[in-house]
Amino acid sequence: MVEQLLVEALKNRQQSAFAALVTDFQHMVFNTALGIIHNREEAEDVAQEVFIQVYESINQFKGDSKLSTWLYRITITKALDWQRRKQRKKRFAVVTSLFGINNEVLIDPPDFIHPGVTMENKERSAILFKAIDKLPENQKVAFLLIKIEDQTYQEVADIMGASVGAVESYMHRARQNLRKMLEDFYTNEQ
Amino acid sequence: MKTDDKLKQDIEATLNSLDKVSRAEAPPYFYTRLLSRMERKRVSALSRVLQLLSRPVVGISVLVLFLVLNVVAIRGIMSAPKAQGQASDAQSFATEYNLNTTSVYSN
Repeated sequence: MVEQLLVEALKNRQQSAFAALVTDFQHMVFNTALGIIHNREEAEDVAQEVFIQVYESINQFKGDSKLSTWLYRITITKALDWQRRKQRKKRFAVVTSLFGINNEVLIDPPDFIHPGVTMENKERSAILFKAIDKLPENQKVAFLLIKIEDQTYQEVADIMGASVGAVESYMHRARQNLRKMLEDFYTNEQ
Repeated sequence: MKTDDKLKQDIEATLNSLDKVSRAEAPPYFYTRLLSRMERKRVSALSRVLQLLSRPVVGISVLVLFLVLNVVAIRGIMSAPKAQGQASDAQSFATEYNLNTTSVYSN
């Protein structure tokens, strides 16, 4: 009921409703974007884009799902788009540097340490995030939503527009793939 | 080389390293920065429209279109009374020769 009122107020372009929306969901949107993008400044940019998109297309929100589900969907789509663009740029930079067109120095980003990770898990979580980055998108999204956003399988299914069974399958394969990548990492560590 | 047990321990510990993660918070003044970005976006959209209109090709095209519409409107106004006149001529002709009846059998 409260959510319905909020949506109605947003559709009527009430500034106070937009402020309430941002206050309620900014951390959720930022944290989800950060899990995919691994960079605070870029995650903030994406989070801003998400709220601008919500402001511009609130009339398309039919209320079939929860507002948070819709926000998760927009955030994930935008974050994955951002990541794809970044990877394209990186590949392009590598190619141009091979031909000597681009003299820019390619710097690998430092290991990502999620700010919410406990002190004793910082190092391990950085290794895990590197492996998560290599997962196929569906597996990555399911794993991150369950692990860092503490969502249930049903909620993740709603967000991804898939069945609970499909999400269970994504999680199972994600764990399998991560185990394999971590095994390679720790075997070659020494 | 690591032993199998140590390797398994490392893998499981790493896989579970996000289990107690807390949610990262958006930076302070997020809403203020968001509003200023929206304002910048609005201003830049407006300036893009103005920039487009200030281009000679677009400006001249808009002017020509305006003139053509005016000419069409003026011609329409000028020809309207004539059409009305023609219609009334036809009406008087029909009345004169009793052609107003709907059936040839009616009187």
